[in-house]
Amino acid sequence: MAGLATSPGLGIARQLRPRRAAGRRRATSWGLVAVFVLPSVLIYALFMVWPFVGTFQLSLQAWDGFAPERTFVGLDNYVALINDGEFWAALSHNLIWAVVGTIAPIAIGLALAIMLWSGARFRLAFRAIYFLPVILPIVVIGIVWGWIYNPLFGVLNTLFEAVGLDDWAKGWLGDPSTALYAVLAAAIWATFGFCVVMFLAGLQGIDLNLVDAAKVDGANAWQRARYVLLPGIAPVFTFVLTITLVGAFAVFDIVYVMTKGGPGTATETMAGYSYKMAFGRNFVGYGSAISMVIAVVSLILAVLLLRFRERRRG
Amino acid sequence: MTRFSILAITAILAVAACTGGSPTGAAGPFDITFLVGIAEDPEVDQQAQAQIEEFNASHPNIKVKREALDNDQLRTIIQTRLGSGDVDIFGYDTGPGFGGVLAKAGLVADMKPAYDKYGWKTFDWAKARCTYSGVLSCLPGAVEEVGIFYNKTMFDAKGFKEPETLEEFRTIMEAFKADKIVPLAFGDQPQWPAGHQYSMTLSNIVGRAGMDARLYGEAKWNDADGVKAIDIFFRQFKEAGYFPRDPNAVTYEDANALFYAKKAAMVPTGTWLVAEITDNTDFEVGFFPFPSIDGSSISPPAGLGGGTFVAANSDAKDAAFEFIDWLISDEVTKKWSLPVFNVIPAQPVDTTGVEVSPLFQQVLDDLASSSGTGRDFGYNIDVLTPAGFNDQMFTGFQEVLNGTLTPQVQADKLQAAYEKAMAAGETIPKP
Repeated sequence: MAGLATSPGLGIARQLRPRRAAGRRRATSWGLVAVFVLPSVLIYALFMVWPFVGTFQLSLQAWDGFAPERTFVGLDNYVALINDGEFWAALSHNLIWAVVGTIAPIAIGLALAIMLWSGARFRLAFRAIYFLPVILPIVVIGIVWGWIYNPLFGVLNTLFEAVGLDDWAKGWLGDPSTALYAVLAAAIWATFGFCVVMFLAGLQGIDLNLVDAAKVDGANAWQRARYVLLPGIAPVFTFVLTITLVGAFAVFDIVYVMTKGGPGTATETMAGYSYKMAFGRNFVGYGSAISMVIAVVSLILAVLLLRFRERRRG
Repeated sequence: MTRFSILAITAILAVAACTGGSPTGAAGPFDITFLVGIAEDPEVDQQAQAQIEEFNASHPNIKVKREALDNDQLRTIIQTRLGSGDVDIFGYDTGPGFGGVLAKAGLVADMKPAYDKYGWKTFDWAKARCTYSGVLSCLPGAVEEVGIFYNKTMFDAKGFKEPETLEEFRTIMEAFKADKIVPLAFGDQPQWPAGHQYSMTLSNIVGRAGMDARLYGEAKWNDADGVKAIDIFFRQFKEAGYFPRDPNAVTYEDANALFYAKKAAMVPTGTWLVAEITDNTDFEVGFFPFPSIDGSSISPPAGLGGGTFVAANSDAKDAAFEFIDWLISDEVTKKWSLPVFNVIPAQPVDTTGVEVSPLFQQVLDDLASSSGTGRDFGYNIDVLTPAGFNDQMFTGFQEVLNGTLTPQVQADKLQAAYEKAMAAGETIPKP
């Protein structure tokens, strides 16, 4: 055996055998990887990468959406965006949406999730009720909330008038000072249930001994939430934050259904403005440039939040 | 494959190409997809479907499939649908920003051969709206007029007659306001209704010639008349409390519902709503044009509601033209268009023997001279003006109603939008 072991030729052969076997295994596993990954990569490329590249290409062109020829204009559409007051107004509405529309559903969702997790009765029923708005189509939510706000027969105004607050009754969606927040309230109602369910799932993974230990150490409810629960659900928290924040910059449907961006342009968001320019006014290149801005802002936010999460994990 | 086989196959293909490329002379059957905006009243939409079924039953070689879409949706998908080649006929706005863009892109068929073949007697002014760069590209749809429908019972109870001056109109509105009845059911949540109201006041103040001058860039939208037209309806009427509370938050349907429910005395809209009004009211309804403003003419906006186009890449153009010819035939007009849909084709109409509602009869009488020769009709602006101008109209009038924009600034913005569109060649050319 020693002789064999010292023979250089055989030594190499012995060393090669496992390598070849490993190579075969690697080849097999690469094949398997391809089988499993390729369909999703293809779907992603077809429905995400291709449209993204196509939109970018359109954003460098002047095109009315109908003519067979398109004119290459370079960065002109982006330069025009910088000087477009309506675009900046739309962006400011998105920023308000991002702040209020992110903080509110997360705060409400987290508070309700903690209440449910800490042993509330009828937990399953409440969870289902909170989640109900999430499964409703946005169009339905927009129409129903439009009725609630209706200045002629809306429940909200009727309530105010019933309790003597007649001065508060108004056309909530027709007043530029309230319209955006009125739409936001509907969107928050539609979103908070998602946050409740996600946070509840995260909370169920927390070791109860840690909470008990904190109690024994004299931590009050706020301290337990701050130092035990929140770190425990950090990954879920980052995920929910990412989804709601990125969604805030791409919001379109509920605004379109409830106000079409009005009154005037008081509720117009970047996505709505992009739609209006591309399909309403036939400036497809310009609308695509706005879409690219939305995509880039969303991408940056998503990457930043994911890196933040990874850093915390590390 | 031998040289003979190749030559033979090529010859067969060539002959097939010569005879089979067009349906002309072919027996069919042809499947035609007819894309239209959905009717506001579901009952009217059902009747429209029944009309198509009648055509299909009487024309075994042609099968028309009607596809009704929301008008906003129609605008966003029309290019894709035309490109995919699965649409043969479609209803669309005739303005330069709508049908004009499609014609410019070569997406719609030249309809002159069909006009010649079937001898359609469309009014010349209406044909002009369907002509882009000299090519007759559509068949004008219904003739429509924008005015004010009123509850005749309420008017009679107060001894009011149809107002002829703005002062009389204000007196009537003040009286209804005092009775806690909404004088004018104007809802502008969808934004486009404002364009109709502006068309009424501006058409009266400047007349048809003044409207032409603005459309052809010979007069300005922000002159004193232009500002006055905005000021009267969107500032003065709003501040006087003639509209429902917060009209920017009131939908078109809700405004109409106020009228049907007798909570509003009048509703300002177009004659396209006659069928729905007749279906939804149990009181007598009358119609009058917006009254004279400081001695101006009464020039109610009148024009086309849209047009019917045939796709350039349709492989059943002749069948499509045959279907259109049936749609505007005397027989169909008398059976469907006038009594059921209450629409008036843009051609001489023989109403003998047709039973219509009193309201529609009043509209017919009012539009009797709709060829444009007998009366000084104005224009419904938004079907003639480019998209950028319309966008400024729609958003800007909401801001004037809110008080965040003055009539003068809105007029200035309209002028700027029109100049920009003119520079881009998006406005209608002067004939």
